[in-house]
Amino acid sequence: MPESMQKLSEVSPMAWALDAFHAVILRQGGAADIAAPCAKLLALAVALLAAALWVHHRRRVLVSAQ
Amino acid sequence: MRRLLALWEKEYLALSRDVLGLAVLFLMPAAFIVVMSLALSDVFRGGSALRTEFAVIAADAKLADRLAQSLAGDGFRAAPTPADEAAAREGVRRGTPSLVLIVPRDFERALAAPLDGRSAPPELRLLADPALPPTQLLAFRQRILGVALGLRISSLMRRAGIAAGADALELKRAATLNVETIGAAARPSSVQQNVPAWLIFGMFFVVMPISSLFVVERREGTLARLVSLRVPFSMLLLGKVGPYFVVNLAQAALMLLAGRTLVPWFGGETLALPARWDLLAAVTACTSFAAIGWGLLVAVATSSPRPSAASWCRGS
Repeated sequence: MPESMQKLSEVSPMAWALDAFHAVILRQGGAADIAAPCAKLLALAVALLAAALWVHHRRRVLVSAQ
Repeated sequence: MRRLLALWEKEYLALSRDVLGLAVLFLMPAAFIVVMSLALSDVFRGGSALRTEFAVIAADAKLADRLAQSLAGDGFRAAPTPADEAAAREGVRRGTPSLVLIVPRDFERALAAPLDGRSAPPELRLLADPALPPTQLLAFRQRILGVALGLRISSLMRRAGIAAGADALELKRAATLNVETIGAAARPSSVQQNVPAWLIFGMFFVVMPISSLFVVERREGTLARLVSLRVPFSMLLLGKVGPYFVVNLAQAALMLLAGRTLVPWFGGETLALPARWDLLAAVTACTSFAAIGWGLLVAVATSSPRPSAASWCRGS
């Protein structure tokens, strides 16, 4: 895989999830091993929910302006 | 809380009517786990379970036999020597054998050349099947270099008058190497690799039903009616998080079950489950929240503004 794609995959939530699953299923890791990927996934979930609310709010503002 | 429960009930009703969506969420990843675990089972099998055939062509048949014997092992098996290079090329093109080592006429003379840095090292050629996994090709390349180094050292020792047994410099006798895998209870088989990958893939597939149901609800005015009943939009979103979280948990249970039962039933290896179930549940929950969050953003952002505006106006 090209280096640019490898770097891009590092910021993918699927890559974080895969890291965490591999830590538990393949490496029999502990809580410390999954802490970082899980924190990233939860932070992303909160950010996405906030973004969804913001997009909805923007839409309503635009519709009411018309 | 009662309103949230009612929203969850609405979501379950809508989901239960979407048979195709449920099939995509549950059956497709389970089928992928079975098919891909079986298809890739050889790739993750190491050592003697993985068989790669090779042949050696040399002007001196004895040298070819000796090299073939030294190179065999760890999953590499010597195949009958092709008649000539043209036959070898044709064989490799078909994948039988996967590798052919071509030894030049002056190989033994080049081996005996002094190590003064001026003389060129012995030259060898390797014909390789393009379908051979790169790791296998690399492993065989290292074996060839190891064997060549052994031959070169024994040739120099002979010249220096140092006696050594015929097989003293054999690759297999260079050292005893014991590999200890750290941490893992089970060797990472194809099923161990495939279950997490397809599970994540399946969990993120909730984006599809979340967004399609959202568009339908917007088009049919369901969302507008709920807003007119003073249900906050944040609660509407939370009303979708609960049901899809349960869907994701059910998916995880089904995928693990497929790895434990379906894959071995079809002749593959059994998924070894981790000792720490709590950590597995935590990772599943975090992945689920990210997938649902992604689905909600896609749903809100992609539903076309024109019908949504019309439905909001109709609802208010």
